[in-house]
Amino acid sequence: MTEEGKPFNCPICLDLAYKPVVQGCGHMFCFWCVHRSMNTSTVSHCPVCQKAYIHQPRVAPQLHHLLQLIYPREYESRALEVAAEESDQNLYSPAIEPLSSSSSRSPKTTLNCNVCKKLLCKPVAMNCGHLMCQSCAVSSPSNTCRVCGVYHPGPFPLVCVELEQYMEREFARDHKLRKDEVGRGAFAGWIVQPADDPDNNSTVHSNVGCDGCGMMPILGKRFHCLDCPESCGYDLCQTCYNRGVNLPGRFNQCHTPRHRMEERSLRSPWIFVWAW
Amino acid sequence: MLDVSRVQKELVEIKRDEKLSGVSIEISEGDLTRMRGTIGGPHGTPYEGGVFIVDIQLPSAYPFEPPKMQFVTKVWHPNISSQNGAICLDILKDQWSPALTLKTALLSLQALLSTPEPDDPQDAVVAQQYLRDYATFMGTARYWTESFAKRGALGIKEKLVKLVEMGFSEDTARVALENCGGDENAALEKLCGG
Repeated sequence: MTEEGKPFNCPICLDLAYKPVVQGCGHMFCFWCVHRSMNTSTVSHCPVCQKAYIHQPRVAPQLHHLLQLIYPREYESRALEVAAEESDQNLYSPAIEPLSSSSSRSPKTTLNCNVCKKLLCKPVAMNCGHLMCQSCAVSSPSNTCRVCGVYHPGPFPLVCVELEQYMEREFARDHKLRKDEVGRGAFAGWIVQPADDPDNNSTVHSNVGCDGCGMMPILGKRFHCLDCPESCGYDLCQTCYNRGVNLPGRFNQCHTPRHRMEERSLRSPWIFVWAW
Repeated sequence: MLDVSRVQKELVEIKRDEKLSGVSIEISEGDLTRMRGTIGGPHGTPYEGGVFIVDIQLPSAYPFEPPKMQFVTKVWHPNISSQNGAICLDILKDQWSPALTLKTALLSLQALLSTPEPDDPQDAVVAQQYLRDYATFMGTARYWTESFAKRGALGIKEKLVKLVEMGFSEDTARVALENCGGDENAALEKLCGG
């Protein structure tokens, strides 16, 4: 049984976080809990720290694998629970590639930085779900992930304190070594490029989220896929459309680069509801 | 759909340290959407020594929507209606967050009893009194605590029901209770004697 305050419990469902998502402020929740707590027509606020945000980050696969390793039975039972809910709703959370059998399956090796390949130190999660040391994120070009090059909206991500504390407890020696190596300084982060951010007077597409960057609601122009058959549809915001984002859908839609996209105005009779 | 699993976890957590926290919850007849919370009046306030009952209703979207809470026990407080117990507290309205729980909400109500916000009142009459005549406010609040929030956890309504069940008319029972400051035994003596 889980109890409140246990490491990696989601502060919303109070259960073990399933398909964990780390927000820009560093707080961790289940994929569905973040999605359900978001405001569908305006800016949302982190349930824990109240920091404003409008983009739902992608699931962090490393954390998914970590929780699978350290709580195997509990995580499996969460998976079954969520799968049942998803088939009831006919809306699915993103599939996560399983750990390959060749890779060593230990919690510690799961927590290597995607950039420097060493144990994470002051871990931050990018919007795409990649984890890296805060110091590694700093040296990346503004607003893009250094691993996959995908646009990272919003300000510089803050450290996931929960993960940092877990590593401090579990791998005390290595963690300290890494900390000394990286230095204890604070990082200024990058300068946000306002060109990519929609202005305040943008059109609001309530209830519609961007399958690229996770912006919900979509502000400004909205592009809709004509070929994705899923009832939740596939949409992009202007920034992701311009950048040629062709990521798979946030709800496991089978979107491919060959699909045709069309701009949808607010008055369009074809309003696809992204959330239930 | 109400997140039953979360509500159950919350109830376990509240039960675990109800002695320490001073707040507790009882569910009514297995219905998880309707509960009664109790809050101990904070020390050093006119509510000290009182036990305040709060009616709690969970909307189906809980915890993504705030629980509906209302005082059942009559309270003299600027942010609580003296008529119907309605509460003016931001976290029960637009400042609710799904990371808050029934326990944190009840603790916030306890904190509200300690620190009234007369500039954002629910009950204008009480707030006026608080601002203009603090001594009288303290007196009334203490008197209401004595009258309605003491003698076990029974609210005035329950006491009235009990007396009516014993065969007294509702009006005479209410008058007797009011005259005895909510003390049900004294009221009973009065009713029997007079």
